[in-house]
Amino acid sequence: MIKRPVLLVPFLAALAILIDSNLSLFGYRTDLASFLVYWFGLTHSGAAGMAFGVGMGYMEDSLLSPLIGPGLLAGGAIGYMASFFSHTFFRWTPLLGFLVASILTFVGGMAEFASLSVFADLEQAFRGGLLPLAAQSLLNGILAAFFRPGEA
Amino acid sequence: MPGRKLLPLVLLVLAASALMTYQAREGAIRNPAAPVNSAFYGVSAGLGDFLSGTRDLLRHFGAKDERIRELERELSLLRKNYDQVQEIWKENGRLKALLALKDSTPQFVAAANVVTRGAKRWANTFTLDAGGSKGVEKEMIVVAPSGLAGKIIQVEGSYSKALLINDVRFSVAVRVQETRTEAILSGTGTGFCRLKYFPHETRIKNGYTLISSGLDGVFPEGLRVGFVSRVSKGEGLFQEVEVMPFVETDRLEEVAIIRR
Repeated sequence: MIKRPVLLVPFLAALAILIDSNLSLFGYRTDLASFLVYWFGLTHSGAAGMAFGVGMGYMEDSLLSPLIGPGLLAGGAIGYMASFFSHTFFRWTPLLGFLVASILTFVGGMAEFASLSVFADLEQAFRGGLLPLAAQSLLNGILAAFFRPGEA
Repeated sequence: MPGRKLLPLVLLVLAASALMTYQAREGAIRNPAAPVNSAFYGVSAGLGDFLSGTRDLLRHFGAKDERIRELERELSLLRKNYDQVQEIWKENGRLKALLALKDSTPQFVAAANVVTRGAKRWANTFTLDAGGSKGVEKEMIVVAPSGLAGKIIQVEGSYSKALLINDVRFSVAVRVQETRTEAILSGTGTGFCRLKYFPHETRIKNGYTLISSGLDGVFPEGLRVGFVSRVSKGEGLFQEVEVMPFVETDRLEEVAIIRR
């Protein structure tokens, strides 16, 4: 469906970030940006997934973060790792989709946290950020159960 | 995962680490996407208003037959209008408070709207629609009518980013208004802040008010900061004192930027 993903990065990133900045469910902000990167990685090669994730992460960092890098790292990692679950020996099921998206969202969040801890002294924010991250991981997992790798 | 497949991931980690190390040492890099960001913040603010309006409309939507539907539509419209009037009325109140703040604060630099709140889960930041073009500079102070809200950490032409009072990187020298005791207040990354190094022998109790002392050389003296919400013994030499900021950080809409 998407032939030239790079051209769509700014548009999709902006849309996902716009929604994430304005929408909250049960008091928690959504993280559609991570989900979009996961979905893209799942339906494309590892390199394309990483490029998409890096582009999305850069936009996120540029708009919302005091530091450029944490989102970029998290996005690239999610996009790259997501592709393994459709291009290796795993057989996709809704449960696998749920688990992978949840875990990758969580891993991405932790990568952001680790980056900010090292480069922006955010080590104490862990408690405050953990619950929103868990909620976002859960939500992305539920969404992922409905998206098969072959549907892109 | 074979080692070769891990290589791009390792390269990504190294590249991102190098980028962040550079920023940590040399400060923020010049962002080529800055002009695009300005447009984004405008759209984001517009979308926020639209969603708020839609939410109000949906809240009052739904009927069983045509007449009821029609009446409900009218009612919905009236309620929507009423909500809008309420919204304008509230905004008017906030702006009046801001205007009063401007009149009473000689250090006033600019008024600003909050256009995005940090969706990033680990950092408590927000973006304001006033930047260098309005005289805003790094380290300036962000206040709301209810008290201290944060400080400016990054400035572009037409917008700036501010660190909220509850961010862990935020700290301010404060004074307990009732006892005149001085202390350092820091954010915790959650909804409340904490007093640092507050000895056991110093008297403090729930409800005490904290104002800025001005001793840090960053914030002016006398800004309302927060009130003590919990005191516990804590481990070691110091008491654990939780402070609730006067500013409701997740409800900020308009703020004033002042210089020291």
